[in-house]
Amino acid sequence: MPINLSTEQKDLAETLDDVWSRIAPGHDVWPSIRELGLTEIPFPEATGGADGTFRDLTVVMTGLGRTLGSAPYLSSVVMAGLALLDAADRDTRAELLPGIVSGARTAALVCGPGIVTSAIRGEVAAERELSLTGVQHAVVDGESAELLVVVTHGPDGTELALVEGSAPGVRRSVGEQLDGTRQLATVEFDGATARRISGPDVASRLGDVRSRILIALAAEQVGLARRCLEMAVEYAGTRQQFGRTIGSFQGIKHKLVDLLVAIELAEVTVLDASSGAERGCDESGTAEPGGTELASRAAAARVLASRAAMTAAEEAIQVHGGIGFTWEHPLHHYFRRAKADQLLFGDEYPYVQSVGESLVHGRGVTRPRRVSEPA
Amino acid sequence: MTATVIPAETGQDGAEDLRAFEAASRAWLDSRLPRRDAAEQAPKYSIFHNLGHEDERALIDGGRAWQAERVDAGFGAMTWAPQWGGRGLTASHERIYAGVEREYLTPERHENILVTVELVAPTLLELGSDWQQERFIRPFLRTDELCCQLFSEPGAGSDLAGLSTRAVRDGESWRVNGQKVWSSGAQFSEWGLLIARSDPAAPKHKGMTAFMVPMDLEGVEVRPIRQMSGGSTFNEVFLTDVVLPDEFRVGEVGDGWRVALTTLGFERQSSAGIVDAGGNTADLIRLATSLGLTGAAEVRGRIAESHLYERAQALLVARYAELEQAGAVPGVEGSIGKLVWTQNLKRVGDAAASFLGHRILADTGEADTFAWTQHLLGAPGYRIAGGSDEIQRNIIGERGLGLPREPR
Repeated sequence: MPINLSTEQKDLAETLDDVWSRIAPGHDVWPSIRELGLTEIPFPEATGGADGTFRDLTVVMTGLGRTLGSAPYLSSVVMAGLALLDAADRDTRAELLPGIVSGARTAALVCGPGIVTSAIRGEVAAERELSLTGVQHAVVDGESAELLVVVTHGPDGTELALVEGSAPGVRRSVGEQLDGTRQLATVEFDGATARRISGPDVASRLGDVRSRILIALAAEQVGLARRCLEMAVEYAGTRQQFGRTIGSFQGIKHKLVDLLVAIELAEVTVLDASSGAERGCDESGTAEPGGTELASRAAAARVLASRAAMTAAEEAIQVHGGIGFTWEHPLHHYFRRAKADQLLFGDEYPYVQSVGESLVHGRGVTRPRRVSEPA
Repeated sequence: MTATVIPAETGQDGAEDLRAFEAASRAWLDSRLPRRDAAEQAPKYSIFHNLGHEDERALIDGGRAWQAERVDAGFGAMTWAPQWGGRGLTASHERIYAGVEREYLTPERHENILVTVELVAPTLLELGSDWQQERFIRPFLRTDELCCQLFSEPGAGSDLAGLSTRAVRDGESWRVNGQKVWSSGAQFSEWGLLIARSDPAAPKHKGMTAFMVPMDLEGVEVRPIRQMSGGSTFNEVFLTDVVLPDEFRVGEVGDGWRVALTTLGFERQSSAGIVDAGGNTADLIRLATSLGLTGAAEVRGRIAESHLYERAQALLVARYAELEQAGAVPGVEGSIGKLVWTQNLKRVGDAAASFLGHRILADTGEADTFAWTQHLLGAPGYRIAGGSDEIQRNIIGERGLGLPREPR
């Protein structure tokens, strides 16, 4: 598969940028997402989806990262949607996906920072029913979602359970948060009754879901980083000090170039990971497992994209000087989102370690050799 | 080199043709070289050559013989037109061949060969006279003769246009006086591509002219410089009353800056793809394993870091190649590639040194340990060679990001 985006994907990216560039960070882009049919992208036609590629999905996430538009896209389409599609039983998929695919209903995935586990316990209440207890913090769109797809530790280990957000025994709240552009709620279960919806092999399938979520988020981080770099370049090209535009000083110029290099590396790693995340589906629309190879590519994307986004947001503020530190300037939203993204699914250390572990445990690396590229 | 590249083929016939070409490449290589078996290969950590003069010459001669053999068989200068001994094939063919060749144990390609084939030959194709093209291109592509660059000076490195070597016209010839430095491979080259100041009154970028200089000419003296890594690849070249016929002039009088930029452009494109010098992640894993360190989280972390950037760079090079094949004009990709590469050289060297600790301070006689000094001491050099990190960042900032220029 080519590394670069297709012409159609580039067109989509431009369209999204055009539509969303006039919206201030944190403002609602959900209506335009539904209007453009973007919620349908990663789902098979059988569920009402557009049968798009994972690459298409990352284009949307990149666009959202560029603008920080507010929408339950990560939570409902990427997290809960992909968890249902890949790891829920057949009946649940048939029942719930159409609403999520069309954007008519939203769902949130209640999970811990590692995605495949959470702080929620499930005890058998009745046939195919669990009684849920526990508190999970930082649930993306956990208060606003209609449906909660819960990763829980049940009698058979990791399970998926489904509960309406308004069901008895469910308490949801949003307090102050680092990043105000994305809702991170505390979701509390106190004996709430939930339906058991795990499909076969749920633990390993959730592992793949996790990889896909990480790659989608990494795409958002790349979009965020690019936008910060653009703002900083624009400012450095106009702001005058000491009789010259500040972008002509090496101290500024080289800072911006280092950002560009970090973004290029992150972006190409995300593109590579996203081509590994394309779904190979069996007849029932269940994804084929991607396994450790996908996990490793997702970890690489996660690490490089987190670094690029955080550094871009930080350094863009520095390039802007005092104005970048004001409430009025949008950069603090980017800084906040960058930090939240960096920590949403755990900091990078375990991801770096997981890459290192698979390398030293004999999977090895092939030595990339010099390829003479003709001009 | 755009003039020589035929547009990439698409469609069924193109794909079939490429498959057939791959098979032909493999058949030819099979008949000539042993397969590369990573396990049996002695690891090599040097970034610059740290060899004695005769050993380095032998290395170059091996590389030259292989280059000539490749060209003669149609696998050496394949994107060049038949007129120059090429086959007029596409960039895709070249890439496929390069991929297949990696499976075999090829003689090492010294940078002197790279300069001659990938930098000087295409510069002459673009800017040389008919006579020069006839005289030089074939021998350079086959490396029958080698050519070095005579660009930098003690007073003009990064500010190349500030050079002061003088070329004074005297009827149908030129008299050259001055000193060049950092001329890689000058001691092994038959020719040098020289940039000299021909008009001291003109603004500094305007008054320069380029020449081909026979390195055995009277008044040309080459003095190797010993590098911090131990070897002597670079040289000082002293030019004292060197007389050059006007037919050795490359481009118009006063057009030397354009010649220099053309060569440097090829250099940047070419340096994006260098990944093969020094140690790398696979070597780090082997080292950590042999030292019994793979259980340490810090060690695994450093191995992972090296791998992440090494892999990202390989993807980046492939991505740029893909864009170029689709018709994009190369911009700052070469500079980005070089920065990423030299940063990872440092990352790998620092990791190896930290794994080795005391064992890199003094040779214990144990194989594969002290040898890493070759990498450690070579890495700083490539952050300067071919345009320093600061120059690459200026290029990327100004041409890639459109930031205002440095005051000059």
